[in-house]
Amino acid sequence: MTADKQNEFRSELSMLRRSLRSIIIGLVIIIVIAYPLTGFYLIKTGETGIYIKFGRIIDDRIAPGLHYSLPRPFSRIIKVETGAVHRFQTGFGADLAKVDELESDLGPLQNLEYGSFIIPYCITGDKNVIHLKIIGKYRISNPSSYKFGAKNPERLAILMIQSAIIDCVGRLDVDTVLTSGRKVIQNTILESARKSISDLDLGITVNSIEVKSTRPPGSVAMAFKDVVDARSEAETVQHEANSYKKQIIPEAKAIAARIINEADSYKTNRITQAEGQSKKFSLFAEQYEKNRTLTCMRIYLKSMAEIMPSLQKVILESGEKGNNIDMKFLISDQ
Amino acid sequence: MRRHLKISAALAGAVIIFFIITCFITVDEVNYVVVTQFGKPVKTISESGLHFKYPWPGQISNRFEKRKQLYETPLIEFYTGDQKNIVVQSFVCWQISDPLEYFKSVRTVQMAEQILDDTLVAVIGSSLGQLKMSNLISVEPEDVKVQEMENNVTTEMNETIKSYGIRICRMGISRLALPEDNVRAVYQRMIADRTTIANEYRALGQEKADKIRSEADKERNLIIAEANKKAEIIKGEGDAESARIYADAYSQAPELFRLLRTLDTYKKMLKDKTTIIMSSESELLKYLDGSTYMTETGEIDKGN
Repeated sequence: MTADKQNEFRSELSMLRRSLRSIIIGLVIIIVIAYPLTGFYLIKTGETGIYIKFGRIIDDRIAPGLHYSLPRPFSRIIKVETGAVHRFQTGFGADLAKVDELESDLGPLQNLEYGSFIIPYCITGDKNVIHLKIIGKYRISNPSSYKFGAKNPERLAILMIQSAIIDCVGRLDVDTVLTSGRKVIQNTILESARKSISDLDLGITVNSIEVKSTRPPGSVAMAFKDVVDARSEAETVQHEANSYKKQIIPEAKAIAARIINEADSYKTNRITQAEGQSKKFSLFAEQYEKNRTLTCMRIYLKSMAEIMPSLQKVILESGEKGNNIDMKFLISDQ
Repeated sequence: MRRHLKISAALAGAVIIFFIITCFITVDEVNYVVVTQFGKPVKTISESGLHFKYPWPGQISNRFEKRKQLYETPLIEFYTGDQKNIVVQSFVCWQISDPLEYFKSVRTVQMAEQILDDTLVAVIGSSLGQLKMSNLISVEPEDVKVQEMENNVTTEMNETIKSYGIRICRMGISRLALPEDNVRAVYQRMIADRTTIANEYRALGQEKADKIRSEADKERNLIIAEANKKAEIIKGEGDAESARIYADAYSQAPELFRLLRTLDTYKKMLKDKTTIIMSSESELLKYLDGSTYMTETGEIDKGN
């Protein structure tokens, strides 16, 4: 290189060095100012903050608002959603959607070797098998216990609830579990869950346990439905019999009334007729008393007048003349 | 030359800072730290916060999980005391109780889980071997001893694994199942049970209905029979009353009654085609030859 070119190069280099220096100084100033500002943090409503300095909890109940702490890595803020109600689902295979999903992947589960292992079920006290779905709602009540007590508090809570379900359902019979036992199960499991969770100090509070659905396994569901059908059929049949009864008894009473009425009117007729006839006779008897012979003769002759005309009459001479009767004469007259 | 010095100074500075930094240990709330010196443990730190040690590589900090951890077993088949098989899936909530012991004998989570699994299966096996199936599932609530068993297993396991620096907080059964064949049999039994119950309902319902119907029929017949009986009595009363009325009346003039009645009878019994044979002496024929009539009046001559 020529001397001129060397000089040029040197001055360009020093210019570069100077501008580089000013850039670096500028950056340092920015970092020095900005870095402390990263210590500001915001806790939203419904959240609680945990302030950790050098790994140690200094304050685990930081209320919502704007706060300041030492910037990282000296301190750390953990925000926990304490206001929200969280929801979990557990149970034993009552999710029909899941069943369908599994069946579409693996084929009909009834035929599979481990069909019943894939879809979990729960055994009832009378050795029957059902599916059960439970929804739980909980709140994070102690942020530091929640974050630093157990590694996976939700999973642990769910498993303890499953254990409670097994214990509870294992004491009940299948009909109770499927129908009237819902409240009992919910209360028992809620109590048990609360106790287990507080024993382990997981920092969560369970608000409610709800048995969302219980059902018998698919292969026996028809048989269960048939029982319901049978019960309503039995009721229908009895109901029909009762309406038959309601219809037939009034009918019978109506017939009975009719029979009695007919008898009454028969009685009335007979008596009236008798009264009429005997009145007629009495009146006639009065006349008869006045003149017996005459009345008798009159009646006698009147009757003969009626009877005689239509009869075949044979008149015979009386016994003195002789008893020989010409039979031929008799017969030919006929 | 000066530049080289500056660079070396800067580098040396950086290295020193690095070593100084490794003297500080930040212990989190979730960690235990065991400080080792060339592989030998020298200090155990359980409290969180800032602690000091000798710089690297003189002393190293080993961190372990302080929180409660979860281990779940797969489905495993066991036998109960009364020779019945049951499939159990269980979980343990465990924690490091002694970090130093843990460091010495376990070191990793995988190792811990292995120990837990072996111990758990053994203890569950022996516990179940002392129970009957009815202690797990029964409609008699007093028989069921699941929680008792869980507590026993927890206690026993803690005895066994204390030397590893691990503590069991809680053991639980997360699933009970029957071996596959048993389940099929259970399904069939459930279907049979349900069918029996359905048949019972139907039969009982029909029986009740039949009873209602037959009772209704019986009542109906009774009502009508009663009515008929009453009717007969009423009719009888009518007949009796009318007979009495007749008798009362006729007894006033019995001979008249007899005459009238007999004449009525003649009317009915002597009809067309009946032939009667009369004597010429009969009263009816008295006036036929005209003589008697004449004699009565006394006017007309007797002889004809």
